[in-house]
Amino acid sequence: MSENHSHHIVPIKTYFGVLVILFVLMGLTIFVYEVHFTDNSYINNAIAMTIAIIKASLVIAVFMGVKYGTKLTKMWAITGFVWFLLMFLMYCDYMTRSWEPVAGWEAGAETALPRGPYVPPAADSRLMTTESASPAIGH
Amino acid sequence: MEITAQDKLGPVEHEHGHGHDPLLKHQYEDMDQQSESYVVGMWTFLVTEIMFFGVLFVMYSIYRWKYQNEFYQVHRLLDVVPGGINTTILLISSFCMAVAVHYAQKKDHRRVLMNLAAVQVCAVAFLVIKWIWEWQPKISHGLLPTTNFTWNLESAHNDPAIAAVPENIAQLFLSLYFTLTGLHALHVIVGIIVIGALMYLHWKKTHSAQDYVNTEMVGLYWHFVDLVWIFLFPLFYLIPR
Repeated sequence: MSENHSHHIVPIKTYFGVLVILFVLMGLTIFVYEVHFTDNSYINNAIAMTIAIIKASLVIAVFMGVKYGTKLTKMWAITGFVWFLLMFLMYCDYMTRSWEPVAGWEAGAETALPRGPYVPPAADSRLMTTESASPAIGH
Repeated sequence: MEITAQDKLGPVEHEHGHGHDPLLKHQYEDMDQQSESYVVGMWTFLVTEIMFFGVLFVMYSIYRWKYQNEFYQVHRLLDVVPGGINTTILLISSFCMAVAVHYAQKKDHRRVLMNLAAVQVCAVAFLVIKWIWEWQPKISHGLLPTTNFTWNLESAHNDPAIAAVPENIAQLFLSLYFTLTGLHALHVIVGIIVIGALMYLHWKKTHSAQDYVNTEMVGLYWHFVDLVWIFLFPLFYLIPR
């Protein structure tokens, strides 16, 4: 009867082990926050987010039992986070807007590419340096 | 629709003596399939929750990328001590919830109740610390981005470097802070209610409390609340220079 369920009972020791690892990782995050590796914060941000992802993965795999779950459960759990990562593809659009300003856009009107035939990048050094105030071609 | 005689007979079907689990609903083949369906259903809900919080995280990331230095300055208004204590509390509560599911699988209602009570204590402590140590002082300083938002040297904890941040960017950071931690706190409150209902089921040793999967589903929700905080903590309290 109810004894033939194949659900996996995870020992409390495993949960406790994960809790200890989570504490250590939390301490590590706070420690890394105080350390200055370089002048900018890229490395700090990368480490903080990597640790957060490891912590999240541990919670999902063990506490939420996805590791011991069925294939269907795994698929649904992964689907959610794939969606989350896909949302970050917005950055591809958002971050590259300023690379190629289009004539008529208020923000980049002076540095906008001229409309008309395509100019090969080699002939146009402004492509990757939209910040500089180089005079616009075709104006 | 008319209620037919067969509809009235419906529930009686559960009592047929075929020797299978009394917890098994008649639309499922066996307990494994039933439990899987429940858990997958809960995960479907969690996927919508991931999307809900996901867009907020993306919004945060875009502004953080744009105003890294300003965000660094304004984030110094937040205290890492209550943030760290609350992280610890939520991790402990998640552990207790996992242990509660462990005992629910063993049908040990007393130990399930003890662990769920520990989760409740953690949840209430989290909210109390959040309100008394963080939200309340900030709101009284006029840092809640409403029409009463005040941004001057005094509200910026008398720190000229913080006060030098333009008001609209300070407001942006604090709006994100109050929105994300507020929605998270709302999920904690919902968690307290749902866990309370689950405790009642275990207390009364009801029919549905016999099935561990109910505790498992509430657990999934609670771990998700913890999961959101795992990201909120470094993103708001630990912004590097």
